Amino acid sequence: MRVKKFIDEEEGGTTGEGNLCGVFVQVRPDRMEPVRRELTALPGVEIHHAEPDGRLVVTVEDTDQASAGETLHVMQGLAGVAAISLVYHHHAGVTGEA
Amino acid sequence: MSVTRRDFIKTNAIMATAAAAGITLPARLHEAEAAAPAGGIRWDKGVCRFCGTGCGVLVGVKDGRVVATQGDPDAPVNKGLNCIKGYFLSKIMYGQDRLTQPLLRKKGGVYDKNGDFTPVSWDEAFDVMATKFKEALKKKGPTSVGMFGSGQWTIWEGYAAAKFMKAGLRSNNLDPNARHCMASAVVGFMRTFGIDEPMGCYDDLEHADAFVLWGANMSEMHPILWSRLTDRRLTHEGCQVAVLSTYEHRSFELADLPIIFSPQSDLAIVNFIANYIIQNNAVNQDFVSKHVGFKKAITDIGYGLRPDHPTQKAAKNPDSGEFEPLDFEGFKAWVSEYTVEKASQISGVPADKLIALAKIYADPKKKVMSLWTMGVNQHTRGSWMNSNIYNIHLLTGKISEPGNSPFSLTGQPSACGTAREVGTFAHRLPSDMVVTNPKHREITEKIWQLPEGTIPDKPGFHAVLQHRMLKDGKLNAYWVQCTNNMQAAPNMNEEGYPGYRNPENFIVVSDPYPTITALAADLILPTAMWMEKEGAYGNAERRTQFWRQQVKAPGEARSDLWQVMEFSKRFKVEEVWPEELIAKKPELKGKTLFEILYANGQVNKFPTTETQKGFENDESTAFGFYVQKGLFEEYGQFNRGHAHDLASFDTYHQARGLRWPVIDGKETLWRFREGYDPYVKAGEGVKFYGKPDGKALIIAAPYEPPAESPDKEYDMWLVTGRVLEHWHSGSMTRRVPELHKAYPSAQVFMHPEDAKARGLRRGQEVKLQTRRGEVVTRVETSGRNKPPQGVVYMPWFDEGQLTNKLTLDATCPLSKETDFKKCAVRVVKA
Amino acid sequence: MTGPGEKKTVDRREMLAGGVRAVCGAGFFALGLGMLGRQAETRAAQSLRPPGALAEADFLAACSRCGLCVRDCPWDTLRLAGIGDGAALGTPLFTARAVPCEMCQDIPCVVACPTGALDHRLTDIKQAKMGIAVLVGQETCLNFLGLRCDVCYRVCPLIDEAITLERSHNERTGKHARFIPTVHSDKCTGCGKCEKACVLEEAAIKVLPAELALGRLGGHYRLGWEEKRKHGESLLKDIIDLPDRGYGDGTATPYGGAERGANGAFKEFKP
Repeated sequence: MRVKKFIDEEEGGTTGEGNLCGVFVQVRPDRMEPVRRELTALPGVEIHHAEPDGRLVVTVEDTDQASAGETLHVMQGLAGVAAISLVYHHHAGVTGEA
Repeated sequence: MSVTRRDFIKTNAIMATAAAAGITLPARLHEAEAAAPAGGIRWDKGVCRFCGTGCGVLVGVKDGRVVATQGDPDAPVNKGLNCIKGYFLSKIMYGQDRLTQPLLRKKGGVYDKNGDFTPVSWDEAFDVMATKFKEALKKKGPTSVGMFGSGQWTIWEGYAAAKFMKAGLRSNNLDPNARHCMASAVVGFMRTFGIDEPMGCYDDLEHADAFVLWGANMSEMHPILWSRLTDRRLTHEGCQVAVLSTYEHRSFELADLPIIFSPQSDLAIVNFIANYIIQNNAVNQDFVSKHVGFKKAITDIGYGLRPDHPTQKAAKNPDSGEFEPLDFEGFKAWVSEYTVEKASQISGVPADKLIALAKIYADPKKKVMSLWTMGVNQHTRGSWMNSNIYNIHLLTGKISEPGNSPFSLTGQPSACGTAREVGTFAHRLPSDMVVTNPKHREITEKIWQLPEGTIPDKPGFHAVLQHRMLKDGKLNAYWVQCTNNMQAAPNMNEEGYPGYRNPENFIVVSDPYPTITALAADLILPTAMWMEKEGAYGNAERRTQFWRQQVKAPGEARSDLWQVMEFSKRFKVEEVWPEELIAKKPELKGKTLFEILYANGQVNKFPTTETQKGFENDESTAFGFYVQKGLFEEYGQFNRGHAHDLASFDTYHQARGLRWPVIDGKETLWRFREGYDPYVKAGEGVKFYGKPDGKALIIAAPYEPPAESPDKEYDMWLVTGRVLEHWHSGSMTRRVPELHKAYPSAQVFMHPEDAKARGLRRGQEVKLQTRRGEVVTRVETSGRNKPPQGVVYMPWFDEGQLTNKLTLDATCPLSKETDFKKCAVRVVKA
Repeated sequence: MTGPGEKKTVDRREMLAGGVRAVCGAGFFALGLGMLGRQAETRAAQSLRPPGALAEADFLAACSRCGLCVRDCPWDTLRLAGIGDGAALGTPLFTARAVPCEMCQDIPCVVACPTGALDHRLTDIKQAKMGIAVLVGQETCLNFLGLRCDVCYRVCPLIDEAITLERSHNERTGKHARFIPTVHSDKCTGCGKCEKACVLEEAAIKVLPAELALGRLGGHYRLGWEEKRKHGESLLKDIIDLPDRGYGDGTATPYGGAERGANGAFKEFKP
């Protein structure tokens, strides 16, 4: 899975500036509310959509406090998170051109 | 990354993720992309960066970046419309290879003509540059330094440069790229009317009954004006359009009277029309007797080639602009030799078509607008041809009133406003004055507060001569701004390139992008462009339009204005002026050129607090005064009260452009006619006040053959020009991916029979060869341009196919403007 | 999917493809295949066949997927369909927006075809019918909006035949004309140069397979004026017409007061 590779790369010292990830998160439906709260509290994380069956559409961005890679790592470890899948990744270059 | 772009990417991320998860998102998320750009954008007025039409645009800025533009729906020229270049204006400043640092050729850490481009500081760049300019001045005097500018300079950039060169360095070797474009039009205006620029305006397009295009592909080169002309044709019953050209182009699509003539023969056609008007009693006798004088041009004037060129040596009166006396009867007799048979024989146009064209002018009930650009101006008899068109309007009195209008279209956005009105030509001073006239020099020196005798009395080197002088080692320190002249100037192989690379010379090029001109230079200065500086342009209908600085330039890029003014600080007056000149004004002793030219009590009169709140003004911040206002108001002293009256600086920031002369808070739409033009007094009716006697001149000038015609060896005519999608050399438009895709590479347009005769198929690679060079391109036998047999057309925007390796540097001997429309070429398989 | 540091804009297609890959990786195989199926349906309209291709069913029967036409295409326009291209695997196609057909005079792809799936009777490329250009984006096309783009018109190899500019008055500005790009299906070869060159982010002009591009009249109705033209005269013979009383028989003067302009049309009424 790319998430692992991505986290390795990010933690391996490549610059974390300007990352934007679209992440599909699957949560045990009974843990939905606490996980949503915990995710929202993480830096650079936004929940854009949630299905009652536990499927979440989330974006994760770099922030001053944590790189997207670090945040994804934390997300993996949250109780109730069954799986996270990195679906979309964008990285802005130094010029800001995409 | 801007927020707008980020929002867009985030929307993509969300949609991708949802799609992968099999989730259907609510509609509002899909709309985020469209909705995002609308919010938080500051809109302000601006002018299109490209042609002389002068379309008004609104420029949208968010987070320090131009994110969008729109046609200004209230701009009188374009009413919210743009052509495809204007549609992409917001992208021209953001090419991937913008220059952000000065680059100097260096080897082993020091400047070397054959070194590699190395980033340097502005200080180092100006140090080396000042050394080179001072060396040249010391060794050979002011004629060994020069500058090449632009009809795309803002008004104050041109004005500051003119002061710097003509007064500061005391060299008249300042010429604009408008020399390649409008010089023949200027000479035509000055010879016929004694004052530059059209008497009419774009409103003529809504008043004329007939339009005659004498050498303008308006459909591609003035697309928005063309849509106005087309609308008149569609909505005004009986409206006629005649299109004359040496090949069939897009404007022929609308032509009621399409005319293909053989190159150079427009001179015979226009003289035939004058003859027809006289023979058929269509002369407006009352108008002619009151308002028109007659002269005969001295003939056999050569082709502006080097004096040792055989064609030039053969001329009896090279470069002569003199006249012989003439009257109406004399003109009548002189022009009578241009019968329809003779005109038809020279031009290859059937007699009935010529007569149909002449009737348009001869019909007293028909209001006629003649329009032309490069087909007439880029012509070895361009100055004559401009005047010859005025001849037929003057004979019939069809001038200076709505719909009756000989209209010289302009190529560049400020060829009029900057190059012509400011006078950045080698022979000119502001407001139509010339360096050869002692009175004009005196007026200029007085306004500039300089000692008498500062401005040299001899014209400097014009554009084509500058390249020759560079090659010959007589022009040694040379600065090019705001133009890509290596690609644009004729005969690159024999003149331009050897001139730049002559080891005796130091060449500086200021540009936003690494053009071939920049890459042929020794020092490249990165330039702030368009909305990265406060600016003003003057369009073809005398409309002056201002804009404010909207964004900051990238990196260390600085405007041409800042560059000239900052560089002037490097010269102490003692280093550039002789002692006896300084002695006439001892208070200038020890001062820098900056202090003398710009911190002179006039230019630095307005404080930076007068700049608009909320907008940057990098030049004013750098120099500590409102630079643009000071320069413009000093410049205003030249034109106010002299029939070129410009409104006050602040007025232009409030208005959507005004057509000069602006007097008593009113624009002038038609000049020389009572009621429209405040310079014509009550009871005078019409007055051509540019001439001392108030009369315009009809000038008899004949057909003379072109400088180079096809022969056995080089058997076809080569015509060069532009395309709608690209502006000039493509340095901006080719960096917009969509425009690049729309027209990626140049091609040669050729008649299918000519291709067949040479065994060539459409799309095949071919070589174009002239006596001067060779270019590889591909054959197009169908498509937008359809040359007749014996003629090929090739655009010059493509730096991968340098068309100007082929062209001949023959000019109109009077205007010194190159004829890019005629030389001999052969086409062979590559 | 884009790796760190890479610069790439993501279009919808890549996005979906990226989605599919990610989902597969996460184990949603069935879902992925479902999407692939849906994609195929929606992509078909943009997959154009080479010049001279037989009607789709016949073409699929005749094409041996040998790839010779692709090999002989000098412009790399043609390629063989892969998964997700919305066409039978291994059959030749091109996508106009990516690489349009350059309309080679000698049509090497047709010459190369060993089976006749590309009809060898096609020797004049101007007679090719790869599809028909349709100006679908009438609300976004810059010329419809009154701007002067007409890039599609000028790149058309059959300019003024396959695409013409039809002029009309711009009511909004009151003084400009609009130049409406108009495709003529009898001349359009479907080469796709117009779609490729369209400067919009999503092309306003698109080449579609002819069966999608053109409307079709019901077989139960014929155009009377066309039938008459083809026939050379009225389809009915020996029909008589009686004169009208008072009109044209000299007994009354027909109304003839309306003014006509130079072109013979009635002038607009102005009181």
